[in-house]
Amino acid sequence: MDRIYSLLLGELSKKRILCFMLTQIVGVAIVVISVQFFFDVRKALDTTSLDKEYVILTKKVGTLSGLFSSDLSFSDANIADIQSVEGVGSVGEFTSSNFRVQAGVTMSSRGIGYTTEMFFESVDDEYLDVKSDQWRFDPKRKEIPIIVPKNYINLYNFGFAPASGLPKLSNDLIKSIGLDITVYDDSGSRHQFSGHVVGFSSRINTILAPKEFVEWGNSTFTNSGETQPDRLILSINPKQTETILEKLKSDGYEVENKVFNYEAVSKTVTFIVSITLFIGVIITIMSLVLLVLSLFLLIERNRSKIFNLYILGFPLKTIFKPYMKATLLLSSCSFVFAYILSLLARELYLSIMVEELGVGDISNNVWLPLAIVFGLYVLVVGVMQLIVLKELRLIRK
Amino acid sequence: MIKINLNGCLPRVFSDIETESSLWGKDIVFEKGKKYLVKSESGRGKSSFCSYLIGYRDDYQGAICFDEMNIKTFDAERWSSLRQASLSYLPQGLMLFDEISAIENILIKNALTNYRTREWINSAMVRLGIDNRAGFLVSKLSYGQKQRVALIRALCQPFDFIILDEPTSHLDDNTSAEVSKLLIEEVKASGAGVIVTSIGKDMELDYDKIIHL
Repeated sequence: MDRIYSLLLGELSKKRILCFMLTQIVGVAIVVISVQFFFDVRKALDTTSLDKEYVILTKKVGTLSGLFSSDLSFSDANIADIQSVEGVGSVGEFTSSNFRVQAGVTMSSRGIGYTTEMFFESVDDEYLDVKSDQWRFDPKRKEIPIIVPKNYINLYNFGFAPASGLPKLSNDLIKSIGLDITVYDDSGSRHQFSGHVVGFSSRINTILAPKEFVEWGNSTFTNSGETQPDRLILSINPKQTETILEKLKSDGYEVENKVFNYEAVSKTVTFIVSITLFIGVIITIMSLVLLVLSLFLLIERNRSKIFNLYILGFPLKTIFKPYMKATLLLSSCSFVFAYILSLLARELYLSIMVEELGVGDISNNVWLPLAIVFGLYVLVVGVMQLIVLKELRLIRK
Repeated sequence: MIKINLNGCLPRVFSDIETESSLWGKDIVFEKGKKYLVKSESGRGKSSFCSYLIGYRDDYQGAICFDEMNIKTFDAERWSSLRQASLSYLPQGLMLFDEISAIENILIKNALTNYRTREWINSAMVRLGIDNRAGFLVSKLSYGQKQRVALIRALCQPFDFIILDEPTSHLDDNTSAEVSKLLIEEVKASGAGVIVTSIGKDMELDYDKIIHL
């Protein structure tokens, strides 16, 4: 039936096909990108924090207060006061290592060695934004898992490394490096441990070791006894962020990390995405209208031919087939293009979200955009076919 | 299909006008195996009559029945299969596709019915003297040549009745005779009925009945 195809579709111009496909690709891509962006951002907000916000609290360091370190630590009364502020959930205390620590890296294959003085802090696990199976300490095994701030890595990768001609380090590479940890007790004897980084925190700006290790170390290597914490981490209700921070500041405390305002961000994102989605839907509808118009035009031009075919005895489905195949083929091509475009766009914004905004793990839901593309495809092609069928039926009588 | 009955069939446009016709408004039977000539002057509804039988117009009162079935009850699929296997039609306007060649016009129909061999089509074109025009676009052919292309196309299907609307209006006597000969052969072979219309020059057949519109 090639003759029917060339008879009915011979007048379809390349320009018109191209115009139609372009609008369809743009329209569909915008719809898919905005829908998947919406879900990704939602997911990012969910994984970051939903019902809890965390802030880190210190006392203001004055000119003289530094000389008397006890002024900078929180007393039990301070902690009770802070806990009583409305909207403050739990209060976690930072425990510092009171013993001397040295960390070193040796790359025996290259003969490079490097050691530095350092320290550990610890906090209750519930305040961590990193989940790891390796996050535990057993004195018998002498292995210390470590969490470092994401900021440090960024500082190194984007500041230090390019300036000093050193290579950038990926998270996985950093995790694979083994560290030699040396601890000195009060009498000066050395105790060897091995350490490795198990995660990167964007919430807590310090080098963290499991609480079990720091407490065990403090009791094993020193005799300094219990000390009061210098820093606190609070979980607060995100809806009351403003008033809580105000109150804490007026009480003379300093809030260390910038608070992420979930409510405001969520609303803004929803608003922006809704607008994008709206525009995408409009463009898709316009591309559909454009296609339907060109189909109308094509059918209108072929009206007498189609009528003759009916009189010759051709059934509707034979006459419909070329139109059906043409719309299917064109739409399939443009939908595939649109899907690829949306995947590329997603790759781009995800990398921006992860690297620039420090958004954590967003599981790659490839089925969602695929489902949207498929749903739209069925809808668009279905509508076109129905319209063509209706037009062809009208010519029959 | 064995017979076509017209029971008081009259085009609606004629319903207010007094007409002297031996077809419109009468009860008439067309039988398979017989040849009918419908003679008329122009404007007497000759082409309307053909279009009613082919099923693309139904602006008439009264009834037309194929084997006692009122054709107004037929759906599109029924008409499509009738046009493929029972009713052949050579329209006055020919209904050829100008943008494809003469042979393609014939083959497009034959591809639907698979009724004729390519050899039969070629020999028919030779007989009607248009074999040297086979590859020409229809728009480049004379009206007489187009009439012959359309006739061969009309024969590319099985039929119980063949309806020819002024089939030889633009043909010379020799060609006209050859067209008649080819038609008679095919009709004899299939035992079909023939309905020919004419406003002047008649196709030469031994008609069983001549009806004046």
